[in-house]
Amino acid sequence: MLLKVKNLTINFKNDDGPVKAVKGIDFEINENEVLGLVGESGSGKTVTALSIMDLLEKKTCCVEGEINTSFNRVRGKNITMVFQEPFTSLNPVLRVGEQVDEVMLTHEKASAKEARSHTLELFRKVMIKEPERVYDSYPHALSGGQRQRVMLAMAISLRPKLLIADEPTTALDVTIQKEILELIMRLKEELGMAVFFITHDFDIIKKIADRVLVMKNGRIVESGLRKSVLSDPKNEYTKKLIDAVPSIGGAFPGKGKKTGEVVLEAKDLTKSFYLEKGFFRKHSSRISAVSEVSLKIHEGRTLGVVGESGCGKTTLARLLVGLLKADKGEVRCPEKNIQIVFQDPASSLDPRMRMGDIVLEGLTIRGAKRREKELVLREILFNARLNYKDRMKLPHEFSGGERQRIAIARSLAVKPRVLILDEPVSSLDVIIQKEVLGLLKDLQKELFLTYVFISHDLRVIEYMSDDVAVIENGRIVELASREKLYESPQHAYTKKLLRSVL
Amino acid sequence: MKNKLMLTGVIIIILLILAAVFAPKIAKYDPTYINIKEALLPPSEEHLMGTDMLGRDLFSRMLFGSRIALTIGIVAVGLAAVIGVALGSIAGYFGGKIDSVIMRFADIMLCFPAFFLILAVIAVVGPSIFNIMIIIGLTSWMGMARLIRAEILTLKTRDYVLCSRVLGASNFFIITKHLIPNGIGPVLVSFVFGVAGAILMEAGLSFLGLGVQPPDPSWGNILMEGKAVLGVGWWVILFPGLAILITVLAFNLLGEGLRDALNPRIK
Repeated sequence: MLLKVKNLTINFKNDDGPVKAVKGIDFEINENEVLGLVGESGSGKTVTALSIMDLLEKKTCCVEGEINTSFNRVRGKNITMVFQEPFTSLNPVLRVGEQVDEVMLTHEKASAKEARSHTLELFRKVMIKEPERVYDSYPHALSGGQRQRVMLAMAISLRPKLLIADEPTTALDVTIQKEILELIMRLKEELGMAVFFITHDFDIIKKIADRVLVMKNGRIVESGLRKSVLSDPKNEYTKKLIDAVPSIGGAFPGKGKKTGEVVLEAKDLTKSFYLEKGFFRKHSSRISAVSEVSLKIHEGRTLGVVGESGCGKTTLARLLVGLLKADKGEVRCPEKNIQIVFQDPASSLDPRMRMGDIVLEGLTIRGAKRREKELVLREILFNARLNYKDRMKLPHEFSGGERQRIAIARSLAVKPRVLILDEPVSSLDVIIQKEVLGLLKDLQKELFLTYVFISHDLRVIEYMSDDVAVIENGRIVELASREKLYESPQHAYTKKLLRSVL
Repeated sequence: MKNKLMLTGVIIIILLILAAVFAPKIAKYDPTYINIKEALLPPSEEHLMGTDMLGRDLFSRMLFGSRIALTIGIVAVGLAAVIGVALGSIAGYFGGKIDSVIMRFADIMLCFPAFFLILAVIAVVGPSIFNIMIIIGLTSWMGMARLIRAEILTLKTRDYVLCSRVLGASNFFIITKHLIPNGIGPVLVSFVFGVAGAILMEAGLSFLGLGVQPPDPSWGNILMEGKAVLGVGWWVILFPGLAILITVLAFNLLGEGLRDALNPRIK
């Protein structure tokens, strides 16, 4: 036994009294094992990790219970942590090498030279190509994957007994996600450390964890060996969580025919952005975001658009709805009625407008009469499974899933035929994700909608789409029906993407 | 603690507004009625704040003076806010050349020392309450324009603004329905501080004889008249001085409280 947590309770002091984040949990971590902690956002996962690291501020929260370890709990030496967002974990004004050196300098009182050579060795260990160059780089010059490798190098610098990884791959692209997970597993074997892995994604747990804890509302609702939890979950909530994870092979065919009317067509769409290069250099550099993209979508069908961050998916979405003007090419939409739903429902709803007004915004703009608006509101809220009674509430009073349903209702209120969905479920927890996807499917059938569904998640894309376009660097590298693409991918990039799905 | 200070400010401002609104009811005397026989009487039950060198009741004059101070403060800064919000939101929303032209104009306006600019203009158009309000308004919108512009620069890329555009909203709709309501907070704070500044400005102008003209009472010109009789009637200068101090303080307390309330990070 490496670490034992007994009856851990964490309360946050708030103006309106204490908020219970963790309500008396017990667990232990054994030597050289991977313990996975799964739960939705707000379930108390991160707070638990921070309390083990003794990183919670005493002023604002009150930690009770026992945390016993078989080793000396020295932060940064025996117990280290890797966070979700490697960019904010690194100091932007220091070279990354210096930041990794710091560990040696403070804990071991090493000389600068020793620290440097130690750091370079660590960089090789975490498979950073060109360690010398990375050593002298600033964080902003590195990619997300490289930054997370640097964080890992820092974490394993002094051969810790326990590594806490708090959603270390959530902010990364799928292909890189897989590499980082493999790296963590390799380091664990090499260094013989235990890993406490926190995630919301059961797929990752499936791959790496020895034992699993499932957390909900500050309590551990289920724990056990990975196999037994996955194959035979005892708790209702665990079942729901496992169920909600979309998996390859879980397709859900739509109704639209390939021969239906073409409701949206794009021809040779090309868009570049220009970066002004400072005061003295006159010429600017050009970044091409979307190049020569052609699409054709038939009524009632869903086109999935998949690619990694920065591939031009969002630019394509904005070109299709007319938020951006294409440099070349054109978008043809006979009815001129396309709406869009964005990724983050928190920022896509005006925080000062009431729910009813938000949903009816499109009609207000069109100058609709009060009576008409009232009728549409009732109908749309019913369709979007929202409560008519809540129409006077402000956005912050709704949950994430409800907010996304409000955004969907707003788009549908103007009766579009085509709906562009730009990562509509990426910021939602899995269970809610499934709910929203189900709603979108139902709405498609009821209202005979046509979707362009943009996502980085191949599993969600498969669940939703009839046809799939794979985008790399602004170009469609493969466009095929769902069955064909998932069963026999043609392009090398598509194959790589599919391989990286866990 | 902060809340209590703000509450103090609010209470003082409410009392002031009540005093200004009900001045004719509260005042026992006509503020311009001259009675040389009763000149320079010290504070007593008859004359709560004494009388001035012409025998006018100082308390009544102070009450009517508060009307002028508050009207000028609120109307002038209101005008500034309207101009500032309109120009600032246009600059921030449209950007590019429109932004450059409007903001450079604001920069130029900021280059003039406001008080002397106002003195110069008053010298040309002549002093009156109306003129003072307009001139203070026209010379103090720049800060608010900058504030709302900065807010709108960050707000205009929010997804709800993009959604609104996809739904077919006009620029006017987006600015008035989404951007200004969400970005008005800092302007509101600036408005409250501005009222304090404008009241001081009016007092200063009247003190120099370029503001509200006698016999109309204003805290500034009462102060000026008091200066001449400082040796024999300390009360003539004490009360208007105190009134200006307390009013400006009250508005500043309210402004600070509002600023903290709108920015939870400072808490």
